[in-house]
Amino acid sequence: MAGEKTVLVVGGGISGITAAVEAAEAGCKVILVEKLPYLGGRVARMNKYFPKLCPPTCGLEINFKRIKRNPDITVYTLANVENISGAPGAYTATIKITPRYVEDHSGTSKCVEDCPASIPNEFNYGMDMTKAIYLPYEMAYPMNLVADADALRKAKVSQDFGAFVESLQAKGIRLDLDAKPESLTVQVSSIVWATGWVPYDATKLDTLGFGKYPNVITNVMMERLASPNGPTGGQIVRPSDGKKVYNLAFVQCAGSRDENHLPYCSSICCLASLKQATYLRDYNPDAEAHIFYIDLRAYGRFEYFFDRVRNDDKIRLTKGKIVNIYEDPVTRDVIVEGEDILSGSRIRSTFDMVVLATGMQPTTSLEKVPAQGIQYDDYGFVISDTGIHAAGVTKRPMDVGTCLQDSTGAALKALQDTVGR
Amino acid sequence: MARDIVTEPDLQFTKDLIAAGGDDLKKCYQCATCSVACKLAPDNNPFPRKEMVWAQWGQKDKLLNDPDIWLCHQCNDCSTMCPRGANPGDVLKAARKMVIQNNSWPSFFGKLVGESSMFVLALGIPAIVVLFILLISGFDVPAGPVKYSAHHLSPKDGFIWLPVLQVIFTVALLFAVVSLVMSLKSYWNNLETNNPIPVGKARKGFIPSLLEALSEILPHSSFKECEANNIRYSAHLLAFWGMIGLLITTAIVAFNVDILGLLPPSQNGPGTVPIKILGNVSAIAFVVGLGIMFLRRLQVPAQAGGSSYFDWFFLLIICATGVTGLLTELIRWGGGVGAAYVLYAIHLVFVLSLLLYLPFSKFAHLGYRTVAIAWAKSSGRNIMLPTKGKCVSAPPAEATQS
Repeated sequence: MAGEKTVLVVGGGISGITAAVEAAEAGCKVILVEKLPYLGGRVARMNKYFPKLCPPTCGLEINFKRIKRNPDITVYTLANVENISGAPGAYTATIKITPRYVEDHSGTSKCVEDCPASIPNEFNYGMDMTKAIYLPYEMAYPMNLVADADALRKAKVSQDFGAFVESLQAKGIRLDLDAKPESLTVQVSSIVWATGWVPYDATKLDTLGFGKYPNVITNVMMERLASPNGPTGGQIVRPSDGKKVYNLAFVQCAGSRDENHLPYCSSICCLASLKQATYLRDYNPDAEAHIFYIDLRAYGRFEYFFDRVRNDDKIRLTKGKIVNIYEDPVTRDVIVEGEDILSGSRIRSTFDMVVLATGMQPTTSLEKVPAQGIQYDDYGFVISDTGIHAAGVTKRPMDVGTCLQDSTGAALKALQDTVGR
Repeated sequence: MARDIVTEPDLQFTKDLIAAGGDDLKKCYQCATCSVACKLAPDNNPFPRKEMVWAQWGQKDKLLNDPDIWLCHQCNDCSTMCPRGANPGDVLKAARKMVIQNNSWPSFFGKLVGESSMFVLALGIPAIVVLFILLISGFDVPAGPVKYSAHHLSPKDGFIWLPVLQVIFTVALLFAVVSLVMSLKSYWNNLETNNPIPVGKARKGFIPSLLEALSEILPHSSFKECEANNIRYSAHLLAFWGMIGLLITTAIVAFNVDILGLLPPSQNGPGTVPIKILGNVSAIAFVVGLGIMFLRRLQVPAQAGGSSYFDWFFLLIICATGVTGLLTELIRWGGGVGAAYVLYAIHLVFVLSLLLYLPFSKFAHLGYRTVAIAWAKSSGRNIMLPTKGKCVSAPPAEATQS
């Protein structure tokens, strides 16, 4: 039906992947564009999904397989859509593709362990370092190395750099720091915009100590900390001294529902914290988790998940937003300050570590869709839906399951565009 | 169970509170940021989160008998940090206005200073009284340098016949003091019987509590804690001590003249007499402090907090009192005899307004706040809870490893 018509999907997270696969499997050609060197987006960096508590890799793996075996899907990573012109049914888009600077098909990072340059590991939200030539993560798709050209150019002056390049060549890995970005112009009938979200910048919450105290982390960092492929191999330990966490506080609405930060509710942070409390309890059965909230929002069937978690008497729930966070400079313990609303007295409690449940900020609030006529709400979520269809968190905050449904719907709208309806 | 009435909301009260300046109170979603942001709130039952829910739910008896609303100095730390823009600082201010008006006796005066439609009448009454004094004194003035007080009418040796001025102003002051004391007494009784804040059994007596309160009020030590609107602390301190200096000046002069029979140092004499220095320095502090508050309300209303008619009325008469007083002196120095007399008469109108409306205008905060702080001292409100340790301790082996 859609024949030779093409749909452009921008964003290779769970929403973009879903839209791409659904549109292609309905018989359409799909170009999937991702700005990072790998597909999977935020979901790839999760430890588990709620409410089933299964690892996201299994869901991603199936989708990667569907992409791999489908000749109608073309994937560009390290790619950005720079300009879109035209109208529904006939768009022209310019895509800029940054080189990987390294060519290799071994699919392992073992062979580049002697790389003299290191960079903060963005996959782990900067909690550890990775080599400047690296495989983003074990399950990465495409499973190719990528190089940080800036870091390598800086390292060029060091003595071992020449030897390192030689050793790469011996292994059949070709490094080309002079590779140039390419530009590509494509004709497409419809566009799905699924650039997702970024965690709200917790350093803006100046009374909550993130960035100042090492044992104050954010919820996305907690996912990495609990992940078997994370910076600690799944050990939930304090960043300051590597001690096992026994007392963990979750600070809900850290910058959410707050007109000074994100005025809306991200809808998933309560469930994420409930889920992360189970990470701690599984990892350390003696440990206690304490969630401080304004309202605990477990919508729809997630109520059952909430019930299950709150029955654990070592997961405590206190109504009252945490306003200030301090550090004990000797022990590096973290002290949270708030009001226990139900008893009407202030709380000042000590924890090993604190997780700030920060919300989701749409990427489109920071980088707009490079096309005319796109409409946004006050917070940067896309509200227009003609020819260019927003999917997933580009539209509003939602959990992974809802993203899948929403993206399938966006794929259908894109298909309608290809046949002019 | 189903028939139990948990609470009876007084919806009109909530509407009145909104009208009195608490416009945004319904935006509050009870997150308690305010109760922690506030540097002045005690750890046990901190404010203003609980006041916000009482305001929303029309809990008139609770809110108006809650001494905590007077522990707030409206520095707006809470309103600045409020995630919803509910402006708790403004809500407490509106509640304070309602306390003053509800306890007003006679209640007509509460309306007179609280409603903009009454403005002309509110200033007209003292103006007519001053005109009456002028009428009795006669409008003619003696030749020569400015002399405000006439001790004799024939021949008239000054502008205003002192005895009539003294009688009328003393009566006004007595009325104000009696009214304020009666209002405060009923307020204290309410605090004792209907106070919504649970108190411990051990209570301190009124006098020691009052002394403790005064030791905090005189140096403004609590007010200093406020962060968001810190300049108001300095401004209020200036106006406060300026006012006290002016009161002392007046009291000393009155004592010398009326009790000791000593005439004051010549009004037109040198400015180096100690009593004149005290008076002038106080007046300048008074006017500068009030000027800062006035300008900030005009220029940075978001930081200074919303201003209702009730605030403006009080600020107007107290600023006008200071400014007309200072101008009168300056013009007299400059040799403008006629203008000095006219300004002096206007100054008297504002002084009389200040006295007369003491218990009903925002000026009454000096009484209510003192009483409420005294109550807080007597009931041990200023509790600081210790920091709680961890719930679980790591086993010793793990605790020592690093």
